[in-house]
Amino acid sequence: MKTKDGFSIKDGHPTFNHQYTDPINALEFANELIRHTYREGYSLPEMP
Amino acid sequence: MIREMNSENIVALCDVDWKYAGPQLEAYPNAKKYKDFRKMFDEMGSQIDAVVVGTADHTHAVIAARALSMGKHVYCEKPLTHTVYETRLLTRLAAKQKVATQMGNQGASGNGVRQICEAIWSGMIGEVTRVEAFTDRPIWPQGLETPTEVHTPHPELDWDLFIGPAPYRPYNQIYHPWNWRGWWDFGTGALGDMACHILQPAVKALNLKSPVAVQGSSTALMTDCAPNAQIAKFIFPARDNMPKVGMPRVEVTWYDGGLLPEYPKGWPAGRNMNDSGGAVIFYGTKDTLVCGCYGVNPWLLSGREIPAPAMTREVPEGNHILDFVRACKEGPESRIKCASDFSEAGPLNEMVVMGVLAVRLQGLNRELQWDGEAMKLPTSLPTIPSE
Repeated sequence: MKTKDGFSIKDGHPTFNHQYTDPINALEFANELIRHTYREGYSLPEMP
Repeated sequence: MIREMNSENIVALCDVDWKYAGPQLEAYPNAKKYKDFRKMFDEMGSQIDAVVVGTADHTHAVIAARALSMGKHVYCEKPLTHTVYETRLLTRLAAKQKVATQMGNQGASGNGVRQICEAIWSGMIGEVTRVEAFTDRPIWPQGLETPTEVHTPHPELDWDLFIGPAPYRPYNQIYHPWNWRGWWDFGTGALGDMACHILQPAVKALNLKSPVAVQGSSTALMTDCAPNAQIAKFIFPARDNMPKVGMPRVEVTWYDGGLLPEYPKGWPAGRNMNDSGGAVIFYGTKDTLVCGCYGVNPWLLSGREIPAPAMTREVPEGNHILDFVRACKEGPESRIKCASDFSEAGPLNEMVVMGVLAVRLQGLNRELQWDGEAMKLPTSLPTIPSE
């Protein structure tokens, strides 16, 4: 994933400035997308 | 939306931004006003019969789950929730509490969806193995870098309450109002925002439940903001055949951000595929059916006429909101479910947020196998490389 997707013309040449995240633990990331960890003060009831 | 319920007694209103919500708050002078939904439920719970949730996507579940747990009927805007787990929870809570529910995908109550369902169920277009759909959204910024500038929220906006259950981040005007849709912590991008409208006829007509595999791709994938354009593919296994048509394995492909499905063979040259914000193309073994966003204006590529719907229930004037009000006033034993009752909206929403997940995990460079029942991906996923 990109943290920066920059572009500019320098001395007449197209110049890209792409910066990326560190490698990501896909399983941890996926599990967080499937079930979020909530901030303190917020919670869900038990799954019936 | 609330104004369509003016026949009812609105006893409380809650919004984290009293400036943005000002006209709505002023329209109901007798309603008690809140910024924190938790406080509202604590103080007004005994006076509330039904709750309408129209907040940013990431807070739908915590509000709706609280309301359902208290036995309230719930109308919740689309997407129903931000994650699969939240959707499953709301679906089960609603069933347990035997309350009226409705997701805010209004087309579900329209005659177009009835017409599509009845045409497919009659075998008119044969077995459907491929569906393609798109939206012309986003109509808000996407593909952005995370802002570094910190703005001061105006005094009537409680930013901490807007953040709600999500990780805290400082306020920037790019997030609120409206544009939260494009930020992953708060919204679900064009896919989450519109697929609950556009794919509902496909899920309903083809009786789709959990996909068994998903795949996503997009323009530049940023860490915090949805990409400018996305493609998501969902694979569904064969379902039980219907009396007049088989229900084989089907692939559903979604496009947004200006991308379109390819034109079906025989497409009338010059005809704009975009009808009311998008379209769905059902490829059957006998014909191809096309409809617009919300299931409107279904038509067949062959030129044959689709009969007027006759078997399925007609929602009076197609009014999705008043049909929810009707359902709230019926007892649990005799209640006719709304067109987007959570029992139907749940599987649709799970599919939609799985599409979001597939786009965000595209760096794995594979089709993701999905165990919908267990809500699990394969347990041996590798690390996503940095680029």
